[in-house]
Amino acid sequence: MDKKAEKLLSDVILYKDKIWALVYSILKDYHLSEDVVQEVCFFIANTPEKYDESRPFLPWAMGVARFKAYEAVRKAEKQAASLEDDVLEKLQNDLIELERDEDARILALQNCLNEVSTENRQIMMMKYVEKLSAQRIADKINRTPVATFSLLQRLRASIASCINKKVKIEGLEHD
Amino acid sequence: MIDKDLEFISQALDHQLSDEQLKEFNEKMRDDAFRKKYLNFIMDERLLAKTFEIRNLQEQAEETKPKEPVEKNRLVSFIGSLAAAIALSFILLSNSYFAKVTSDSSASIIRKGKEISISKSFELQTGDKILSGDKPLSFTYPDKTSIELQPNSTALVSYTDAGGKKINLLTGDLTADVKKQTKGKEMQIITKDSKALVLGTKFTISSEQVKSNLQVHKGKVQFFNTTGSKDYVVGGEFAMAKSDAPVISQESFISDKRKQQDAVRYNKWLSYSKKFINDPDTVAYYDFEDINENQVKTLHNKALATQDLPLNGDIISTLSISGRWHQKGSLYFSEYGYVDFLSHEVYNIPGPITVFAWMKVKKFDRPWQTIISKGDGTWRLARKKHLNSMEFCCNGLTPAPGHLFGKQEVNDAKWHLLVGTYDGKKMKLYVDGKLDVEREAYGNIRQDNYPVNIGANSQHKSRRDFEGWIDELGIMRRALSADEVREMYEIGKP
Repeated sequence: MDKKAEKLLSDVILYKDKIWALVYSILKDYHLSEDVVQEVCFFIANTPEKYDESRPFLPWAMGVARFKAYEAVRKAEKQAASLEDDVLEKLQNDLIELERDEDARILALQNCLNEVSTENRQIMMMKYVEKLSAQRIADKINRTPVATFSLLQRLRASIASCINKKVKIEGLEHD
Repeated sequence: MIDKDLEFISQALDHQLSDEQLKEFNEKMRDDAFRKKYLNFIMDERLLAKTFEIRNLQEQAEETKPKEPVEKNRLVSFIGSLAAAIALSFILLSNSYFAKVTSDSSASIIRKGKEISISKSFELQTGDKILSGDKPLSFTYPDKTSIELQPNSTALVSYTDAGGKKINLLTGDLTADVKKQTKGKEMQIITKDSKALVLGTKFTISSEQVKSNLQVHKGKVQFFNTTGSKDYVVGGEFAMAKSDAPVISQESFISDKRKQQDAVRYNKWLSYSKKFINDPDTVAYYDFEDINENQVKTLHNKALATQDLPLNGDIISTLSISGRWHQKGSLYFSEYGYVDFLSHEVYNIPGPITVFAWMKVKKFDRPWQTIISKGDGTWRLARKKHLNSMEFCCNGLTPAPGHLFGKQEVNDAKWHLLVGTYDGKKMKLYVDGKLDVEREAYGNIRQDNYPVNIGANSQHKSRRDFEGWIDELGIMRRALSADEVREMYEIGKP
C-alpha cells in the first residue's frame, strides 16, 4: 500500500461515524450500513488514484459512500431510499460540517439509560445485543408484534429526547 | 413528554411511514433544526448499540466475579454510573493501552502524527500505526493473543465497534495466535483486499499488490474480499482475496502418499480422455488444463474434429484452481464470472447429442444455476429449479418442453459426473456413471443464435450463475452408451 492509500485509509477511519450516518440514512438498516462502510473503506484504500488530492477528502468519501449504499440497495433488493435528493444533499453537507461532543453525549446517554426500567432495558438489550427482530422480541415477552414495535419506537424516542435535554440543561453541549 | 419530532424520526427509520407521511418527513428534513435532531438521533443510535454491547460485556464479567455485599446509596450509584460512563468514553474515544511489545525490535510507531521508537514492554494504544522495520515485531494482548508482524510491515491497531481486537494490516505479513474470543466480538484483521474474522486460531496473512493471502495453521477463520465473497478457511487450508474473484479455501498441504495416488489416477485419466479428443463426433472438449493466469484467459477447445473452428471461450473472472486431483486444472465459478463463447452454428445440434461435465457444488443459492447452456431455448445442463438435483433440457423435442428432471442429489460439495444424452428416442441423465432418470423423446432440438456459456445462461439477465467447480466438459454429436458413461466415471472419479 502506497503512502497516499495509507493516508486515505487513516482519513476514512477518522470519519467512519459520519459516513455511517449518511449510509444509514439511505439504507435504514444498522448492520447492512456497517458492511457498506467497511466496503467504502476498502474501496478508498484500494483505489487511491480515484481521489484528486486538490479537492477536500470528506465530500469525495461521502460521494463514494452514497454510490456504495445505492449499490447495496440494488444488491439486497431493498426499497430505495425514501429521502429526496436535495434532502440527502443537505444532510451530507450537515455531516461534513457537524461537530459533536461525543463525550458529553455518551455521559448523557448513560444517565438516560439508568432512567429506563429494568424490563425495558432488557427489551432494548434484545434488540441491540441479541439483535432480535421485533417479531422475536414480541414472542419472548408475550406481546403482539405491533405493540412491541411501538414500544421500541417510544423507548428510542424517549432516550433521544432525554439525551438532548441533558446535554442542553447540564451545558454539556453548545446549541 | 416525548418530542413528537423524535417519534416521527424513530418511525421513519423503522420504515413505518405511509407515502403521505414520507412527503411530510422530507419536507421537515428541509428544516435545519429538524435535520440537526435527526442527525443526533442516528449518530446516538450507534452510541446506543455500542453502549449496550459494553454493558453486556460488563454484566458477563460481573457474573464471573464473587459477589460482595455492598450497600448502595444514591451517591454510590451516581458515582458508579459516572465511572462507567467515563470508562465507556475512554474505551470508545481515547487511546487506552491494550497490547504490549514482547520482542526486541527495530520498530517504531506513529502516534498522533509523531514517530516513536519502541522496544520490549512498550505499551501499544488504540490508533497506533506500527512500522516493524527490518526485524519481526511481536506484541501480546492481555488475553495472551499474540501477533508477529513480519519485517517491513505496517499495521494499525484498534478496536472493532463491538469491542473486539482489530488490526489493519497496511503492508506486509503478520502471523497471529489468537486465543478464544467472544462470539460477536471476533478479532478482525483487515487488509486493503480482505477481512478476516477470527474466534481463536493460528494463521498468517499477507497483503500484496492486488491481493491478500491467508494461510490457516489451526482453527477456523472467516475470510472476506472487498466485494462480499467469503469462505471459511480451516487449518491446513489457504485462501486468496481479490476484489474481482470469489474467496475460496484450498488445501495447502498435500501428502506425498496422496500425491502419488493422485498421479496414478490422473495419468490413467489423461490417456483415457484422449478418446474424447479424437472422437470425430466430439464438437468441443474442454479439459481446463492450460489456463495461463498471466495472459488473456482462454479456455481451449481440444476436440480434433473442430480444432480449426473458433470454439475457444473467454474466461471472465473465474478462479483457476485444482480440480479432481491436485495436479489437474479446473475453474471455480461464481457470480463474479463465467466462460463465454461466440455463437457458432456447430453448437446447433439437432440430436443426437451428449453433454457431459465434472462438477462440484459449493452453493446452490438460486434456481436453475447453470453448468453449461446454449441460451434458454436449446440444450443445457443446470440445477433443477431450486432443488438439490440437476436437469438435462433439450427444448424442441416432443413431448415439450423437453425438461428431464433428475432425482440424484448433488449438493454435497463432492465431485460428480453429469452426462445428458439424447439418441433420437430417449433423453437420459446419468449421475456418477449411473442412470438417474430417462424419458421417451423424439424430434429435433431447437436452434438459435444464443452463445454457449459455461457456468451461466446467456439468455437470462440474472445469468443463473453456478457457484462451484467445473473441471472437464464435453459436447458430442452422438449419444454415449450406458457402458461408455460408466467407464468414464470409473476412470475419472477422484
